Amino acid sequence: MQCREWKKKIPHYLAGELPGDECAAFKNHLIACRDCREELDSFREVDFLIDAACVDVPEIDLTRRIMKQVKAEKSCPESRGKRTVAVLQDLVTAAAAALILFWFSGPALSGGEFPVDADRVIKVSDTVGGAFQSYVDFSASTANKLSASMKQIGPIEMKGDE
Amino acid sequence: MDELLIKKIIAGDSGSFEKLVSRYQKKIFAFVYRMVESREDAGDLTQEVFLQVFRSLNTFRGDAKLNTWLYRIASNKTLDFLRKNKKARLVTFDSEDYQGEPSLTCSPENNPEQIVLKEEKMRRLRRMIAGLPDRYRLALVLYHYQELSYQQIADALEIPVKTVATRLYRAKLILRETLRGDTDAMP
Ligand SMILES: [Zn+2]
Repeated sequence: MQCREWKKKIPHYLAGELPGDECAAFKNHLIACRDCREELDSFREVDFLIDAACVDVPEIDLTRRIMKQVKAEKSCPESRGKRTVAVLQDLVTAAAAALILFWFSGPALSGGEFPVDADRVIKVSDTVGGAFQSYVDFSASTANKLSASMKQIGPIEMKGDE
Repeated sequence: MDELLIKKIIAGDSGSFEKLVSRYQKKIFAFVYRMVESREDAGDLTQEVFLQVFRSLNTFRGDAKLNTWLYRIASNKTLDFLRKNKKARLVTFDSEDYQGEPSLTCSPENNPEQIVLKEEKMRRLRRMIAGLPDRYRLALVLYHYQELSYQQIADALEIPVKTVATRLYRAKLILRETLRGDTDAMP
């Protein structure tokens, strides 16, 4: 076997995972080959450093937390499905809210009353994802300020960051 | 021991599932924590691992060891998490989330200056390890820190032993070359 091939097996050898006959052959090769001995030393050092870099793991017992969740799932296995529906409903609401704000932002902006938030309104895109982002971005006060300027529509109820 | 436990769980004995969780949660949390480097995320992911175990226990094939199966689920969840959170992953063990102490600092002959120096070296080293491709780092963590054998890693990741060896070789080669380029991190 060529040195190149042996070198690839060094971590295997150091882990004691090289089969008996191969291990003996490599030991023989090491006696004759200084290059491979140096390679072996360098990998030994890397192994030492990897072990030294091991981090202490925080002491934590998750048994109770996990069992609580398991029990909840046992008593209500369809809860995951419900959660998905709830998220979808939120997304639809977000899209609707964002679209309303987009439609009515024209008059508000031309009035020049809310230049600070204008870029946020423009950010409203026609995708649900964009609508959702804008929905999150908007604070309730901004929405109410906008709605106050647009007397034709009432105050908009926003949930989220306030 | 595990086989009996699984039989009992499938038969509907929730006390046995609690035993399983209690027996393995620390190990799985440690593994996930070392991969995702955040206590909170590791806690959430560990919980997800055991919930998936609970949901799919009746599909568990006796030919795989429970230990291996747990690591398989944990590895998949962890890799998935890392893929999804790629952008947020610049934070590593030197963030405030990291609680551990480098093991070398415990040596009594170290003076404070040396301790600071070694801590800095360890930080650099950990950053290098954190920067490895995920699947190489996974093999490295399983072998060096979770103390799985090549065969156990191969079983957990459903890859040939030869591939485990190759990933570990490449991981170490990358680390060695990075260390050579960064003499400050050498001991
Ligand atoms: Zn050689």
